[in-house]
Amino acid sequence: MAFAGGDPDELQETASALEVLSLDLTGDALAVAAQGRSAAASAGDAGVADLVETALAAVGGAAVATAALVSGLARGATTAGGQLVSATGGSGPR
Amino acid sequence: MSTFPVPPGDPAGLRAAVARLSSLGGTVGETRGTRLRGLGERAEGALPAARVAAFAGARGQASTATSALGVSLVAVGGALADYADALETSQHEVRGANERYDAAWSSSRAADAAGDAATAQSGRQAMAQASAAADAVRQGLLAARQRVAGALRAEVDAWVPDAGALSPVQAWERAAADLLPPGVRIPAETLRDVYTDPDVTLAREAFTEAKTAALKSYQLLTVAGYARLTAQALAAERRLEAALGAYQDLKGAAPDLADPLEYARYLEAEREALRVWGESSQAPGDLQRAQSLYKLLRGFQGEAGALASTAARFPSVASEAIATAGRLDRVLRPVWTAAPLAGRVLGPVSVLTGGYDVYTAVTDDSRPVDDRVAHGLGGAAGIAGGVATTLLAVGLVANPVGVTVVAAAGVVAVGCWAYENRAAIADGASRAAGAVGHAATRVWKGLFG
Repeated sequence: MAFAGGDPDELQETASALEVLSLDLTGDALAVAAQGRSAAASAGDAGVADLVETALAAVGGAAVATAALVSGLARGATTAGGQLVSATGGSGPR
Repeated sequence: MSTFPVPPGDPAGLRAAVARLSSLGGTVGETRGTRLRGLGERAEGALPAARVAAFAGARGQASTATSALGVSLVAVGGALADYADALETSQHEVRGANERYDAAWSSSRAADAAGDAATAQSGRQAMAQASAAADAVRQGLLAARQRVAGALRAEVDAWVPDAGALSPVQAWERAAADLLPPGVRIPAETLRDVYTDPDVTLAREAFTEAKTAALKSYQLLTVAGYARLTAQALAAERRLEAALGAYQDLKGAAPDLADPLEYARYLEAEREALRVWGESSQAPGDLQRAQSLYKLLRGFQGEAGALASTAARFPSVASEAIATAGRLDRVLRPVWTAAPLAGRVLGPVSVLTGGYDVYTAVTDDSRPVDDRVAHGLGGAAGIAGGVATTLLAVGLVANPVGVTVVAAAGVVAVGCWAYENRAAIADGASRAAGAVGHAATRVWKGLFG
């Protein structure tokens, strides 16, 4: 198989940083949902309370999916780096 | 005595939530987005050339999501600030109406007792005026409620389209599921557990199942879904950038929200950002398709080549609009500049090595049959990918199918390579190889039946 270039060490470092970013986004998602509950408690009007909690739950859910995608990118970078090392016997471009 | 009920609610509590949402909007939309772009650029510079386009596509989708999340948080915050303002005004006005009504009532009663008909009548008129004022306040708050409800429903619809009435936990679950590509799912029960018992560590553990499949499915979805990809039109994007810039400038100047004028400007900036965001999804179809094709081809033909190919395919779309495919992609310029040379060199190399793999698979009787089959399939995939890469690089092919062949061939080739070397691969690598093979099957079935 032909592998065109690539830097496994850089990929590993980037993958770790992407995992941290994914963790941060997960925390953001939960914080957004928590703000929905907080705002609902202050709204006074039941309809507004329900809508704001629902809207922020939707935004939080989308943030969860984004965190999963970023984690997927991290996993992809890790896998690609591992494949490079294996395919070149550790002697490929680094 | 309170004749008119004071509207319930805590404007200060709402404004505290607005401040937190504003901060979260900046964090997710700008800070996280900037980090993702920077890390994406690093990863794309370190990946094998054949994988850069697919990775960049998936990363671009995630970057777009962070930007949209930031704007959505700003929009929800703007709606809540609007409601907090209306609620506080209503509470203040109703309390005033109650005081005026009570004073007029006392005056009227005293005048009646004293036989002062004129003063009694004046008191009753004041009571009627206070009652009318309280009624007007109620109507004003009702209008604000409808306005805010519309804005909040729009945000729910943005992430969970056409869902009808949803509970918060249903919205959470559906939004997460809808944004993930087909074939990638986080179990509904897990999502519900995380929502009702929020904990970052638990959430991360629970979402692990979705991680492996996320990249592979999403990169291929990006390519195969070319015809229905949405992108922002140049003009709409410029308006969005301007509105967000104005909002950020105002926010960065630490506005005094207790000042009514400052507060009104703040609200107006947020509403403008929301309005142009709504418009930004109205990009003409040809422009969306042209920008998407341009972004796909850039990884093979470089910026100039991709622009020429795309312009030839979409003569009605201005080149300037095509080339400005998105502010989120500009960081990748060095990668696109090097792309044509890499494609012209690596495409033929992949063809040669793939051909050699096929030859040895046919002639090497000393190896097990399944290894020879995997070796031959991998070689064939290498040939297909190499041919497609070369044709794309020299401009003889300039369509999404060519890009898809390269992406799919890469997945198949790696899957076959992993199968051949299965005995030497550690357990973790074996799991990855299985996922690659599974993804490859889905790709071929999805694209070619």
